[in-house]
Amino acid sequence: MRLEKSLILDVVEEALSAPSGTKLYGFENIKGVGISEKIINGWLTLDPSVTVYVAAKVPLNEIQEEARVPEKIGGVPTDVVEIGEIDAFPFKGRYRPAPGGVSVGHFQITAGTIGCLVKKGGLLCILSNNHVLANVNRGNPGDPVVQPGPIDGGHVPADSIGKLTTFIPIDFTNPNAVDCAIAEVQSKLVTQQNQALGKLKLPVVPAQLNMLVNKCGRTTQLTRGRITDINATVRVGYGSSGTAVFQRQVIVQSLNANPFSQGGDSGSLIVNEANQPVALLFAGSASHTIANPIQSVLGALGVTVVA
Amino acid sequence: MADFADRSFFQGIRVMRQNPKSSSIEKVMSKHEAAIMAIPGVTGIGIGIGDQQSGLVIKVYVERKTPELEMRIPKELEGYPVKTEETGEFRAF
Repeated sequence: MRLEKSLILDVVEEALSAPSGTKLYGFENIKGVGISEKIINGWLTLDPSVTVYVAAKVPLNEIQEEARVPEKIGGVPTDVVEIGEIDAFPFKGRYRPAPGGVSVGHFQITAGTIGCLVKKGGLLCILSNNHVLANVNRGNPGDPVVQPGPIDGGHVPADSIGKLTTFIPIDFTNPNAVDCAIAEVQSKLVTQQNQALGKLKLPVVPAQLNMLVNKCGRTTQLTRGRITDINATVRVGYGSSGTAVFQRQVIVQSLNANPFSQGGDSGSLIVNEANQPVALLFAGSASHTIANPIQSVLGALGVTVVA
Repeated sequence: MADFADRSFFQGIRVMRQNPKSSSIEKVMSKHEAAIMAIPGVTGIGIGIGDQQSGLVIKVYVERKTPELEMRIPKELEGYPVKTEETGEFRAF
């Protein structure tokens, strides 16, 4: 089988770099490309084919002209195979043991992200935000926390992973330092690994301007960014609960055109390039991500990171 | 009485003359924080690095840059440059 590697790489690059947001199915519908044997009516034909994996097989007139898969690429016939969204599941799915960086939530919210494991005395807990594990001050100690979060299909009791232990109340009148909470978990239900970052390193380190950072979250998964601001005071909206002011915050901006984080990434642990914890993500806008310095979080809750 | 032969004494004077900033950037920021945050359309204030990576600046975040906001936000605070940055509205993620 003689196929130019570049042929495939070109298609992949085009597919992955194309913008989305149009009503027609575009390149974002193409999830992967490979070489296989052409199958016709379920029979292998011994002929090579370029297999294009798509999220959804749809009529040609619903696909942008440039994103249509031609019948042949470089003289080799193509096959279009529907495989659905391959990148959605790994961070919104149900995991036992559950790693950091995946969907979680108080049973009455939508979903946020597991930051990491922490210890409070002898108690093993997951760390995330107050608005993820304690439903913005409305939760009570003992409330069930589900993995994945409710919007990702997590139900009580089948998907319960722990119980809300402690949260730092969010003050809507005076300035805050942190949006954080912990939920007690059984050690067999969790792992200290992070879904995309792997093994964390200690000690935790303070945020510094221009520091390059990574995070893994339920929605935007693994992203890279740079700390552009420190010691920031910001006003953050909490929907119907109101607006709260946070002081001494860290601001991160993405290294590329995609956002560093979005809704559902709350609770993600932000780490430096050596995988040392730096901050706990909790808010942002389309262009900026806001996080609590990790030392403030650990101090407020009286916990230490398990890594 | 000060010992004028002590080099650190003179160096101290030189630093004060060359640098009009008598307080740390954190102190200057917190001194003006309440007044800046009270301006409608301002989403926050922080410390960052200037465009030319020249040094520390006080950043004022605004939901959207408007001529009115550019007028109301000072260009510098006690010797530190102020950079206005558009952020959109911040919300809990």
